[in-house]
Amino acid sequence: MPLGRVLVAAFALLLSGCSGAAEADALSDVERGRRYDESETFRREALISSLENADNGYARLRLERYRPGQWEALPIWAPAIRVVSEADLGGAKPTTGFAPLEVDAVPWAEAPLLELGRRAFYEYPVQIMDFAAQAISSAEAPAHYGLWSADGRLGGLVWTALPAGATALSVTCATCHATTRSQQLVTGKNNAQLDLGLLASDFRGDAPNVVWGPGRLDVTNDGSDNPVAIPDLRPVRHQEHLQRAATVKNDLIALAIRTETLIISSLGESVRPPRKLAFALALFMWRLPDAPLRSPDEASSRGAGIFAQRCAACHQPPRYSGPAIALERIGTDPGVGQSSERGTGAYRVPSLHAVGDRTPLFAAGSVRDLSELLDPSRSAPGHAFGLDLEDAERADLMRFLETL
Amino acid sequence: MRKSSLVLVVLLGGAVPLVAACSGRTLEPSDASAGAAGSAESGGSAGASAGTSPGGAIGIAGTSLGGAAGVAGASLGGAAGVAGGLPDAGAGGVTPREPVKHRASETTCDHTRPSNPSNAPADGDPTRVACHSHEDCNQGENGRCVGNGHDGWQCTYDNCFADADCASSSSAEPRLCMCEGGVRSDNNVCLPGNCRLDADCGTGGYCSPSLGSCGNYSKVVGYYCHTPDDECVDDADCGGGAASALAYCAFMPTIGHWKCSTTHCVG
Repeated sequence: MPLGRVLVAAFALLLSGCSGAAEADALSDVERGRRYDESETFRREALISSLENADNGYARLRLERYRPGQWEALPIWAPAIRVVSEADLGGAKPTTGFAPLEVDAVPWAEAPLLELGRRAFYEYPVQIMDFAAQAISSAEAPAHYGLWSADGRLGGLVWTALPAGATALSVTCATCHATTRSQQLVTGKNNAQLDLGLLASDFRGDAPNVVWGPGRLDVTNDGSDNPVAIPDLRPVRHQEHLQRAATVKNDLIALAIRTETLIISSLGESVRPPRKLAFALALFMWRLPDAPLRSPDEASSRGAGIFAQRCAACHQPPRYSGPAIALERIGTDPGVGQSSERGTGAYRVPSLHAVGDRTPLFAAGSVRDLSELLDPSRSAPGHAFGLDLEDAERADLMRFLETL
Repeated sequence: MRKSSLVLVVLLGGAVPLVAACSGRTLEPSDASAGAAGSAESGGSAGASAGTSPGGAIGIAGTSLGGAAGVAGASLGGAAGVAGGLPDAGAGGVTPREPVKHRASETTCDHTRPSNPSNAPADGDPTRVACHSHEDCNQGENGRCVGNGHDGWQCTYDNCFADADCASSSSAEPRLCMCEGGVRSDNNVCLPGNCRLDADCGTGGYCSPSLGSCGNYSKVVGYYCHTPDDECVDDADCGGGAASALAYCAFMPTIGHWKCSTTHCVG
């Protein structure tokens, strides 16, 4: 091919690529969701651009399998479910009352997708968990293992219909990422009481798993016990990265792919969720409202000034998140960040939206709350920022953080 | 070895392996007679499962679940995701053969549990050091104070010695006693599943231990029948692939048969 034609073709390709990216950026969230659903190329490119470290296990697995002929070819799973409620405590497995989530009939429009996402958050089985039977074996069991109960739902558990007439208990997003406050359900907030380690060990009469403790679980099989604190999803749209170890660069489509592939791997790579449902879940989480603990006042205004001087370089307004920070710089327990499965050599800078009532803090959950975080006498190492504040300054800063 | 009878039949040498043409997969001479695992007539009546093709929906519609728990499952026609690839056999599974691990007969566990001196510290945070010696573990049978500096120390007990010890009053599903099946210790534990013995899986069927979605991290989570739709029989069928170093063959409740997976836990 003559050089001139090569250059013209290359220029055209460049233009095409630019206009494609610009076009994608101009799309509405729902239109991007539809493209994610329909275009393998769009999904693949979104996956690749979202991975912070292509060499960790999380990335390698997805780069190998999130493609046609692999996970793309898995059967779509939309099982019939029945919500677990307090009426199930101590009872036998139900045999009636099962129905699947309606997905296909949901139009590609914001409101219906959000409603699908809300229902899926509480009702789509993301992992089959036989040992959850232990948590509904008696009236006292749910509280013992940290399951919430509200709105006729118990811990976000669902009975799930399986092939050959079998049924099993499953967890949903809401099992870990919802809790109650004054008996009101708080969607997206991490369930800091949930003790899945103890639940699993008690079910099989095993040695009590005291390593994880409430609100933490080890999500990787990387040869190390490195439990991670269940994340608070309320500020997810503000996060610069998904996952504590900054494994995924955040974006609505990245979140949808993260959600879809989480479900695939949590179900043993045997099935995949409907992509419309995965996107609806991501959109629902993306639209979770901010949840400030209190309104601004004089003290919080003073605290805002301290924040600007001492914190805003990393927790950058208005998202109060920012670029990931190297493990050695932050100095907290590096276990999660060093994981061969998720690690990037850094921790994400978490958004401080809703941090006022968040517990625990740090990737490994080693700090109870804001008060302990800023306490100069705390024993957990790392994140030394703000420990040198005077008492009055510390109080003002906390007041400001509670307004986010 | 604490088992008074052999739990898992392990095929060692002796038989000359046959290599299947096209696949390189090793077959045992008993393959030809092992194909009935989980057949419809042996595995209980099928429920209302539907949707059997790759890319199609799998679900159980309606509001009533029928059929006893059995071993029939949806045929995926060789759905992708199986590292290393396996040949189809009829409806899409591998050619059935005798699994390396299966439960031919009921096991009773030895009542004698090894009692090496506990290495628990004399003191420490009570939430991490729940016991200091084996003598502290007197709330059950064969109590042992076990642990390490990372995990802490706790009492473990033999929760069963025979399947009868694992009967569940709240569930009609099989539960069996697995000798030394503890995740963090060598204690005997009760496990669920859809079978206790090979005979529960029909004539020529096999009931095998399966890891869960966390792989070896959570050890064996239950026993399940092999089916004609299985996409793997043993871990050795799941090799290959850059991300597959830890691949294993496990029962997938979602599809009702065995399939290769890798170890990730929660995504």
